[in-house]
Amino acid sequence: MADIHALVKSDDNISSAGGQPSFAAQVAALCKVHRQILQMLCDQLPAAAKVVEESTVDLTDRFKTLAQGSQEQAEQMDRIISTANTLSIEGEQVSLDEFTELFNKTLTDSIQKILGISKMAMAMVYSLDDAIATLSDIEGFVEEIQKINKQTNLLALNATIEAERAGEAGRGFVVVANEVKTVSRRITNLSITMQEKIGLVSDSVRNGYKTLQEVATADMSENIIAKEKLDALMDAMIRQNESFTEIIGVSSASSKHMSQNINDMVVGMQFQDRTTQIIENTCLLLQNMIEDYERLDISTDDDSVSRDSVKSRVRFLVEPALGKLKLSDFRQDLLHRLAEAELLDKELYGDISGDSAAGGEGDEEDDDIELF
Amino acid sequence: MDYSTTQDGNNVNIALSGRFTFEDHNSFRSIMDMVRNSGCRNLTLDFSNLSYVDSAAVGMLLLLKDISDECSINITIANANAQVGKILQIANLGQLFAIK
Repeated sequence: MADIHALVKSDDNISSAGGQPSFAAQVAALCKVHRQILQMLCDQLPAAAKVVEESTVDLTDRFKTLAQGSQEQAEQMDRIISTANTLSIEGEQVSLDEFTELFNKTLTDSIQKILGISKMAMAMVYSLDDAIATLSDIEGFVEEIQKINKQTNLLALNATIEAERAGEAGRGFVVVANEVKTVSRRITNLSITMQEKIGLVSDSVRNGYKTLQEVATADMSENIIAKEKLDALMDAMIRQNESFTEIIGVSSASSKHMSQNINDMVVGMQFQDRTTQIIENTCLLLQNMIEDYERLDISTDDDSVSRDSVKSRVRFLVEPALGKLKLSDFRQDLLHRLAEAELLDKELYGDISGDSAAGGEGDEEDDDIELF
Repeated sequence: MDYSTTQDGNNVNIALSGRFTFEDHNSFRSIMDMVRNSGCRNLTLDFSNLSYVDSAAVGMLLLLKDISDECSINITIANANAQVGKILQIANLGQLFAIK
């Protein structure tokens, strides 16, 4: 950037009749520049307000959508929570606690059935014991029969001997005695058969015992282990469900909180109303000032104030401002207006705006709006 | 399984020891007959020294329960160890016997 003070001094030397511009020229220059600047502000400020308004509306919409989404998310999570503790079984809603109870009951019922079978098997064992006892009695009776039979046989033998001694008179008796022996033999055979049959029944009963032992005996240890495992499983399931529900609950609360925060933000963003109003009112005051300057302009626009001296004074006033402006379109707008109002020579554009290679700052840097 | 009995008026105490399985069905028959004929009101089965029961043993206990119901006798099972206790529990036998 050229040395401003040097330029001003040199300009003052070049300007017409005797160095320093007249007071009238100074005032005229001031009024004209300010009028242009004020007009520019009147145009730029509403534009700024519009940007704020449009952005606010856009942001508000987006935030509302966000808040709604957040709310819906919370509702979904609440739904999960309300169904988390139940299972749908055959069309019915069953709570996990009920399910556990049902489950345990079913298991216990099964075990009780097994034990019921064992009980009946043991009752059968005792019935068989009774049968064996009766069989023993019967065996005893059969032995008795055989003893008696032996006696009978002996008696028949004796009878035969006595009959032989009696000779002719005993002949009938011999026949009877022989009959008795036959009967006795038959009884013996029958007894043997009975004993065989009793033996078969004993064998059957012994087999019965074996079968019943198998039926009645179950090592309950496996049942115990199974039940403990299932209990642990149910327990773990319920505990996991509880922690799951808790986590979702926290999430849901967060979502609702977020939703509320966003709604508060949206309310806070309505500052743009006030901003617009402030800017409108500011513009009204600026407009007022412009009109004041316009009136002043007429009275100072006479030949005693030379165009050149006004122009040089304008340069002196405007250059510091231009140096400070960061937006290049702001700078261009001001230069354009001043040129249109014939307050600046167009040829000086390049020099003052600082766009030349000799200048320090490049265009790109000025175009950047600081983002944070 | 071995057992020993003491009687004190209306109360009978039977201490069982060892392992109680199907093979003990004869001994247990004696116990059941003795209980039926004792004329007692309260029967306590002391399981302190009983190390193991299987389902046949429980079946026999259930038969004993039938007899005690006929004779209006209360049965208490006392001092069951971990394994025996678990079986009593999973079979829900607390409904039928007082368990201490």
